[in-house]
Amino acid sequence: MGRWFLHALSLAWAELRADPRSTACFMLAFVGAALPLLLLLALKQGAIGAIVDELVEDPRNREIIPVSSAVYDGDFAARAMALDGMGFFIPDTRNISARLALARNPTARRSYPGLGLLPTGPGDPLYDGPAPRWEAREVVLSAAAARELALSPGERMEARAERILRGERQAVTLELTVIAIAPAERIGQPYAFVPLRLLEAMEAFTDDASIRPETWLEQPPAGFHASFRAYAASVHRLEDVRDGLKALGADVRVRAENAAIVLRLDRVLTGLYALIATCGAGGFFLGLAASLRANLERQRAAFGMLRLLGAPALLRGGVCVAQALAVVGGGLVLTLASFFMLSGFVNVVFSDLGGPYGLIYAGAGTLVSACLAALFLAVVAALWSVREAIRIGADEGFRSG
Amino acid sequence: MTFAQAGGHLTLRLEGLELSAGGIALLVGESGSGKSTILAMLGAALRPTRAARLELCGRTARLSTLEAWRQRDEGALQRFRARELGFVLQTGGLLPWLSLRRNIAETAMLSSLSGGAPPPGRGEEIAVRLGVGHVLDRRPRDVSVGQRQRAAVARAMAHGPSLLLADEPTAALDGANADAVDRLMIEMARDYGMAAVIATHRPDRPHWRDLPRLTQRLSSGPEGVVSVFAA
Repeated sequence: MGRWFLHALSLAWAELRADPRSTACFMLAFVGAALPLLLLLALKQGAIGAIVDELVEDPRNREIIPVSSAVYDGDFAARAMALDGMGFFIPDTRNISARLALARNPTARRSYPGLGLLPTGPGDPLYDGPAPRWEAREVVLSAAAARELALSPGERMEARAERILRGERQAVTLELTVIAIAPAERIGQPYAFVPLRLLEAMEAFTDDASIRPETWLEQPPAGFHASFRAYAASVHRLEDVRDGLKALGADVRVRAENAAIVLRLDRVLTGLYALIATCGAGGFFLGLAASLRANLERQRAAFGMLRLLGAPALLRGGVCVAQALAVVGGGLVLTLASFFMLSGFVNVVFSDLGGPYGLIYAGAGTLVSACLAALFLAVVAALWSVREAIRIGADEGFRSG
Repeated sequence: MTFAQAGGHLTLRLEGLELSAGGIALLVGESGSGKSTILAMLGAALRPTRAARLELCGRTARLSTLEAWRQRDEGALQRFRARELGFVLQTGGLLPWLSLRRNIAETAMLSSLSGGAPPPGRGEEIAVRLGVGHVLDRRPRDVSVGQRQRAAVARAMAHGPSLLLADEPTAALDGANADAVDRLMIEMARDYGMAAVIATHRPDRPHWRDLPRLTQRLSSGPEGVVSVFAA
């Protein structure tokens, strides 16, 4: 069978070479159908894909924030964490309690008043690496905070909290070790990520006059919290998680309202592209099938002669399939060459509009898939001709000779 | 062996043709008398309407043609055509996209792929004897009609068939050219031990003189007009 197919390839190749003008026309017809489709796909992937990637990659776009303070107990926290699509959840204290009176680098004598605190735990999407441990008095600083305080991982920071009691200012100080710096791309403002226990202790110290400065860190954890930090596992689950939290009774909104609009746009464009691609591929398929069939009609006498000389159906059908593959293969080479030239030109001219890969971009996987799909369609389109090529009788070859 | 045309306008009949290796017979009749149809039936390319006996015995294979048609055994017909039959048609019937060299090699290739004996590899030798050795790398459209017909004869003989079926092989050539090709064809068929049936409407040429012939006569009967080819 392999020898027959090799012979079919050789005959098909000879036929295409013998009539280079017709072959070139077949290939150009393919380019005419395939290139606009590829450009459309690449435009969608390049322009819209870059915006979607940005959305997906920036964890801030996955954040769901409580609109107002409320009382969230341990049961709420457990159910919120278990929500389908929840990426990260941790209870938080009131905003007013989540701020240091002063953060200080005792070595460099640099200080920063009013440094905001964020409760954190394993899997916090705003930085990579392990979460700071309460027992070890650890902290993770945002890049902006580390810059203000001139601190690096391994160095120590003094955290000072204050309260006014009967007109008198009382302060407590805690020494923390910086274990990591959160990247500026994920959090731009000066913040310190600390264990929830520190925030709970600060809130208790601020609110409860009975807590003495000497024992402020020894208070048992509160069972209730006024707020929380929540992030969906992916931007595509954002609305699910928001609705889940609302169903649990929390008044929430997503931080990046535009994310939902862009995602919807992406979905609409994907659907639109699928429709256009289906129409285009259908047209291409019909065009190719008709071209191959017309070519067979042109070569009808030769196919009859092949049968008369003893060529089996496998060879005669194989010639049709090989012709289709050769035409589409050549067309693909021309299409890809045109695509790279056009996309290179457009990406240079509109360099300010595109994402990281430019306005028009198709990855290797996309291109390989498109080529395989085209070759598959070529084989299917050739089946019409194969059927007829097999039917042409040896007597037809005899008469036409 | 009989072939009735659809619509029943004409019935063709071939009576008593037996050829052994090296035997050559002429099929004589006017244009349109049914010679090509008879040859197509002999060449396992067209199914006879009925036949008392139609057997082809090649050097390496034997074909009970009627049985193969009855059983729709296209594989058996195809293999026999590839291995044991050579065809020379009125206008050559060369594949237009192949050079003369590849056209001539094609029968040997198909015979070999169909399980035939290794081709004798004499395609080029025959082509040289026929006077087309110098144009083998040209395509059919780039050579003269005479050269095309000579190449067609070479193709029909290149794979060493047992039976050569030639349908007015030189009808498109001028007299001298036609005679030369006819003579060479007969000479080589004898040299290579092939049987041959050659259809012609010009049986009076000198080189045909000594060959047995099946001549057409028309008769009418219950089945309408019958064109009978008989000795």
